[in-house]
Amino acid sequence: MRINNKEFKLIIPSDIVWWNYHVTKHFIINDSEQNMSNLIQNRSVEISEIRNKQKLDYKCPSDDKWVENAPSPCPLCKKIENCYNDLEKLRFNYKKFIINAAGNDIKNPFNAQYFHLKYNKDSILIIDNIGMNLIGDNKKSKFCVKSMYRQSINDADQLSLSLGAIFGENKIYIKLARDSWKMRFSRRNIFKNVKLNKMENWK
Amino acid sequence: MSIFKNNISVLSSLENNWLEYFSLTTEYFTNHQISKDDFSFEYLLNKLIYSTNIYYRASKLIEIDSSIQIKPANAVIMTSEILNDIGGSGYNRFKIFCEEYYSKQRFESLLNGIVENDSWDINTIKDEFSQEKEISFFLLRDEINLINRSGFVFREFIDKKNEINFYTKLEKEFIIVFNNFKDIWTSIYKDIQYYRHYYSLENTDDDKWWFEVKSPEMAVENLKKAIYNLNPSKLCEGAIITNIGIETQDLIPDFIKNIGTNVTSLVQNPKILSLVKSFDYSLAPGKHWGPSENKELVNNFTIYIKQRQQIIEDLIKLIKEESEIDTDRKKDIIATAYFLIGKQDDAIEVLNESE
Repeated sequence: MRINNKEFKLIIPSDIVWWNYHVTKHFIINDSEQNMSNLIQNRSVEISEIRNKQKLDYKCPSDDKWVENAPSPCPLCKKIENCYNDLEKLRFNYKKFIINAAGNDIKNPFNAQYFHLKYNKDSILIIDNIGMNLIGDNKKSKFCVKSMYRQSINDADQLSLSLGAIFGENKIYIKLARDSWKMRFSRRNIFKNVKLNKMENWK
Repeated sequence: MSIFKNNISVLSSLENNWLEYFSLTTEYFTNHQISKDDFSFEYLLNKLIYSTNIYYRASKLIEIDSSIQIKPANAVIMTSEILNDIGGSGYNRFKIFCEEYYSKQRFESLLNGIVENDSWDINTIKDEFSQEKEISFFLLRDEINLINRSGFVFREFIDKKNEINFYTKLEKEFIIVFNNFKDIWTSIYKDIQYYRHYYSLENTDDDKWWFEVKSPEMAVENLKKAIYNLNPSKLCEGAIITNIGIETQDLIPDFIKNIGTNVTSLVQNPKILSLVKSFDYSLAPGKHWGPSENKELVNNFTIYIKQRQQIIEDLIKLIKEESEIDTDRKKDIIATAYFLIGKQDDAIEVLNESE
């Protein structure tokens, strides 16, 4: 992959815990907010089936324990391999989205390079054409994937009125991602040396 | 780091923001594939109105140059045309949307969801992901405020329909809920500052509520003042206030030092200061500071002081009477116990006692 005229090797974690945690969090637990499952076929049936199995057979914590900043329950789970197998299709799609976001940035760069003061790491963010936020550590010539997700439409939380069309609208997720990162980058206690590319995508 | 180099950059960003919502809204306006029970168009229309309003508000303070392609006045006209085009049934749908979107019940539930979340606490150091909801909910107040504001696009529209009472009622109820969750707004103070800059806001009568949110530092300063005004007999209450400051920022050492140096006249009794320092101020997970928690803390603190002093004094008595403990060891234990309850003089006296 190339980011801002520099070649990077894309490193996707192979750790089972990482996969189970991220796929469960973004595809299943936060799906009503991030609507990533909208992007794949036959998703709703499969997702509810997997979630039921996680809860009933693997004693996975309830959804409210999966809120932001909650510690991942996956490392302590004894059924982690079974869960990993159940998530195969979703993992495949998650990986596909990562590869697409990483590979396509060269066509219309929409990225940011920054130093994360809390983690003490050089990092890279890519926002892709379906509104995915791909975040990775920038280690010399390696892009080590940390996470990928879509922004939540927070102000529509708990609205009983249907917003199906807008939840399927990639443009909204792109806009939310940009607006949100612009605000985050203003936090000088967390980010420094922020370089945005290309500027017209960030306006 | 600010992404905005200057005021024109701010305005240009708001122009783009408006343009994005305008394109999407018009696209959805003519999209007949959306089912009737789907309120996506109304959601976008509301966003378009807000984007028009913030663009227009900022333009009052910034001189426009040639880099701005769609003048704010034209953005207002174009939004106004869409509003006029939605017709009576379109307006009724929008009203249904607003009634729920700005309902006090939903807002209250959203905010309760934040404070009831185990991971939320006013003194938690927020990372870049954890404040998204809070700031989104904060901005809802700006949205509904601008909907009702004279001279702005939607207000003119509803004035013609004689519908203003419906929206002012929504806003009044909304503000009551907003004001009940001040801790949340303090916890996102820096993001609010960002938006004040992004929206090019000034502290006018209309927008002063933006500037009334206290930073954690300001909250602590106010608490210090409150402490200074206490008399010694009310130090327990002072401790409660101190505690809120501590919960707001990790300032325990400095803050206690301030009590000791700046308010020495209040802390005549070192015993109390010692107890103030050693009291466990932590709250049960998921709880946040509010009137009932403060009251509970006052009670707990009072019980704590009484119990702790009594227990230690009882122990001192027991140890004094205990004959099997080595004399030096006994002196050490008793002196330490006196120190613990702030009786430094008694402690020194015990240590100086000759056998």
